[in-house]
Amino acid sequence: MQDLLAYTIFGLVTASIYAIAASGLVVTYTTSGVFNLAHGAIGMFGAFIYWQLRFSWGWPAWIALLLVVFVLSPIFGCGLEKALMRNLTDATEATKLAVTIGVLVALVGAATWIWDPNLSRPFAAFYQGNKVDILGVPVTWDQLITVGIGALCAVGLRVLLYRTRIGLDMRAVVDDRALVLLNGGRPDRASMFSWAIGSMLASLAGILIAPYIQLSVVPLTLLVVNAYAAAVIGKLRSLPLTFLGAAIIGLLQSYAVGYLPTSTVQWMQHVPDTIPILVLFVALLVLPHQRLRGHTGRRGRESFPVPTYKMALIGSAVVVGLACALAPLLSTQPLFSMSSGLGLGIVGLSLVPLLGYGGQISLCQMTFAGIGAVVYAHATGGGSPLGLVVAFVVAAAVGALTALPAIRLRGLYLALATAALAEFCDTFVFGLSSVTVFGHHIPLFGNGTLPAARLQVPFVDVSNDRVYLVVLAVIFCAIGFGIVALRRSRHGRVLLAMRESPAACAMLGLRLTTVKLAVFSLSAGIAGVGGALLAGLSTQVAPDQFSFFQSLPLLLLMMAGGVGMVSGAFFGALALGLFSTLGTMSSLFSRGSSLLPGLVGIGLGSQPNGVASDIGAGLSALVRRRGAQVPAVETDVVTEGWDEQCIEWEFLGMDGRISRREQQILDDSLGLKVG
Amino acid sequence: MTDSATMSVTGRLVPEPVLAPTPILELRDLHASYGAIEVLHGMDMIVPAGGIFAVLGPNGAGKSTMLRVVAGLHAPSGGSVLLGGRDVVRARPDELARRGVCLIPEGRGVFPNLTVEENLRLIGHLGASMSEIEQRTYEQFPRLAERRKQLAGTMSGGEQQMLALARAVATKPGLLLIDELSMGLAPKIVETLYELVAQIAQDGVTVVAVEQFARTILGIASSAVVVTTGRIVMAGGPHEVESELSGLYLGDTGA
Ligand SMILES: Nc1ncnc2c1ncn2[C@@H]1O[C@H](COP(=O)(O)OP(=O)(O)OP(=O)(O)O)[C@@H](O)[C@H]1O
Ligand SMILES: [Mg+2]
Repeated sequence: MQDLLAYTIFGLVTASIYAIAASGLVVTYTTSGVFNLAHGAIGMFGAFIYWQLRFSWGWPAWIALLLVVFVLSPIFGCGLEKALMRNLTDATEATKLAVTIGVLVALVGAATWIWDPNLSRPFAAFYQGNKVDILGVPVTWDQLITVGIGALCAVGLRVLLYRTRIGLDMRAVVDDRALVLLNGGRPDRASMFSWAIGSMLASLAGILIAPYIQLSVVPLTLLVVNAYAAAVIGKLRSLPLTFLGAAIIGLLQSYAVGYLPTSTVQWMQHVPDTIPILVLFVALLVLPHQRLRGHTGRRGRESFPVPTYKMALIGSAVVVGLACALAPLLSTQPLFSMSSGLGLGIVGLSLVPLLGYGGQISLCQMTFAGIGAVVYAHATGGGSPLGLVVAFVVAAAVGALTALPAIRLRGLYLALATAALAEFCDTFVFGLSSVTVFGHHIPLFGNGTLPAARLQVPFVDVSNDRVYLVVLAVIFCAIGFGIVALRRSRHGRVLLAMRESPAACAMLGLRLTTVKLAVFSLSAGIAGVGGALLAGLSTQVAPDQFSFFQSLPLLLLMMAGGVGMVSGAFFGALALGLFSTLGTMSSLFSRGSSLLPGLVGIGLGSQPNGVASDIGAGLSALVRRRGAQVPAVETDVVTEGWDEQCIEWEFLGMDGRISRREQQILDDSLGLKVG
Repeated sequence: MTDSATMSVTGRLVPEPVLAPTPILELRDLHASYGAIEVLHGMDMIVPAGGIFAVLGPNGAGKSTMLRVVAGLHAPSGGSVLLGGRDVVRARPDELARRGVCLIPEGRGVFPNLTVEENLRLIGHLGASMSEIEQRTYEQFPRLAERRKQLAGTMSGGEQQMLALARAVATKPGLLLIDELSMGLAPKIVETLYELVAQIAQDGVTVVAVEQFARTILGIASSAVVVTTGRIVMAGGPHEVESELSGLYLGDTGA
């Protein structure tokens, strides 16, 4: 009984912190339409600044707290809104998410740069050491304060939203942004205010939780996953339900710590950490299907030319040629960097069909790569090519399982589910020493590394690192070629149609869920193959190579390269190789190594197409200037007027012909025929 | 604060027709497109100050698009929109609203998750005092007074449109643009609503109304145009237009 009370109190403390974080997330998301994945990172940064003021410089706690929460955080939030988020109103969901990921990655880079992660930073709670007795259970003052602040936030937000003018504006913006404009209101002011509130709540949560999970960059940043698990229960818009979600998660987690045999059964050790993620998956499963909307106001600015086989051949020749030319020249370190860049590039290729064509964002491609690596390491004693196949199949299967709960929901939920999977693998699966599947014993990382053999290729000596670089280049091109073929097939057009207008596709009888599931599995499989090849590169694999945090810069650089094109993945790979070379060259770079990709990601807000298409356009302009005849770029991407475009596409009615009835549905709902 | 004050100095539309010899609204060769698809192909239209100006036409003709362009929600691809003689093509919708252009958009022009009272309170932007607004509104629309604490989304369609009208009127607009007030409503309610619109016009507000209930709107309009596929195909007095329309494709129920 005493125990139960103690665990309940502790659960409520965590719940309060989750609730503070999650409500900030919900307020910004509903008011501005941008889901802020950097929410946790903002909290992390706030906690670090607080630490600097309070413990390093010895300021009084309350001054430090007021300065961080009520001055610096809102300024930062307003700045973010004004500089970045404001310009994203008509961007695609993927671009919006990518920009916030850019902010996340940049903040993490900046924090590791400013505060050396190798030093330990004690972070005392408020009034450390003071306790009161509640029904015989000792409760620290700081726990009481935390619960109090949580309750205060609930009341404060309620009052703000329902009793103040700006709150009324915020709710009106959530309801109907255009109508606010028509009434002479300023939705952008409401958005800015919501970002200020969001940042304040994030910092507050970061400062409150730091004493419990220690002041270190990544765990604080990833607090966002726990927070949005609560927010998903509130369907990302209801604050009361979000608070309820936070309470469920906090209590379950506390009871799990208390009542599961975490200290005696070894695999149970990290189960409590996975509770928010498990709750998230359950919540996704029961979340009602969302209505598709035709005119979502979302007009993609992203557009990519259709690849041709000729260009693919030329591109492959260039890539393989480059690898052959560089391989003998590079010294060991850069050679390794370039090879791992190419290996990561293969993982990045997996994003081309998924994100570039299908418009679905995934935040866990490195996790799939890790799964591929583990399976490959286990399946092949001597590096037989069969291992790659097994890696593909297993990663694809896990991909399908992950996507299943979220697949019928909007793209954002799928992205959240992928981040949750990545967290799940980081905190739980990859930390296990082995799993047994159907009586088959597969060793996992445990706390160390797994040995893996290099892929054996007939007639070549792959143990030579220079040769392996060329092998990687060839495989990169082969997979790239497959993706080009996919793009040119009917399936490629279906994917594009899905990205451009889910509503139009659904109306035409396309089974979107099947399409999504298929492309998601394919993509996970490709990532798995990339992971297997990466494992071969260093002949041993460590879990941190495949952590959630590795997926984010990869995603950003792929998008910056131009994720709608295979060549974009190559530019992304090149950039990864270069950045990692830079990192080995100076310690300054290696510390803030994620700063660069972060800034690149932030830049996506204004350049969502990435560089590949610009370079392509530049090249063809160059050729044209030299007098050669270049056919006009073949584009069939619909960036506007989806209705017209869909009608031209051959997949209408799946067999290329439109039935009478379909024609009528089209006419009725699109208003194409008049009179 | 400061900008709303200057705004009213610089050019709030004047409600009294006598003070505005120029047409209150004029479209010159207006083109508009969604992406690559043009839906307005050069519209010329003159709306004199005062009275009700009816815009008729089949579905997809571009009537809503035209109103959205006038209200600043959609940037035209060519031509100009003159409000009281001044080109406002580059103005933002909130600026236009503060200058006295008010659009009741297609569908229900209310915030469904706000109460009636809150829906009205939102127009406090325009500098009017809240108690004054509420008092005047509830006087003119007694039905809303009974429902002030109810969420707008839970009211009947007719009540919602009444609220939309009430809010529009409370902003004291010079030019009121109404897009299919009747959408999804019973003819009886439509009659009532348009009686209210006629009253509003009588108080000196110029009304441009897009409507499918042709007979109803022509009954109170002082002039009318017919739009098909992005062009004005006919303009004239209500009787002229009605005689041309009869038996045509509009499917008017009028009764
Ligand atoms: N957001 C949009 N994106 C693309 N096309 C659009 C969009 N909105 C309208 N259209 C197209 O523009 C044309 C004109 O539409 P509009 O809504 O202005 O017609 P309308 O005259 O108001 O029709 P209705 O009487 O049905 O309301 C239609 O062909 C429509 O399909
Ligand atoms: Mg319309």
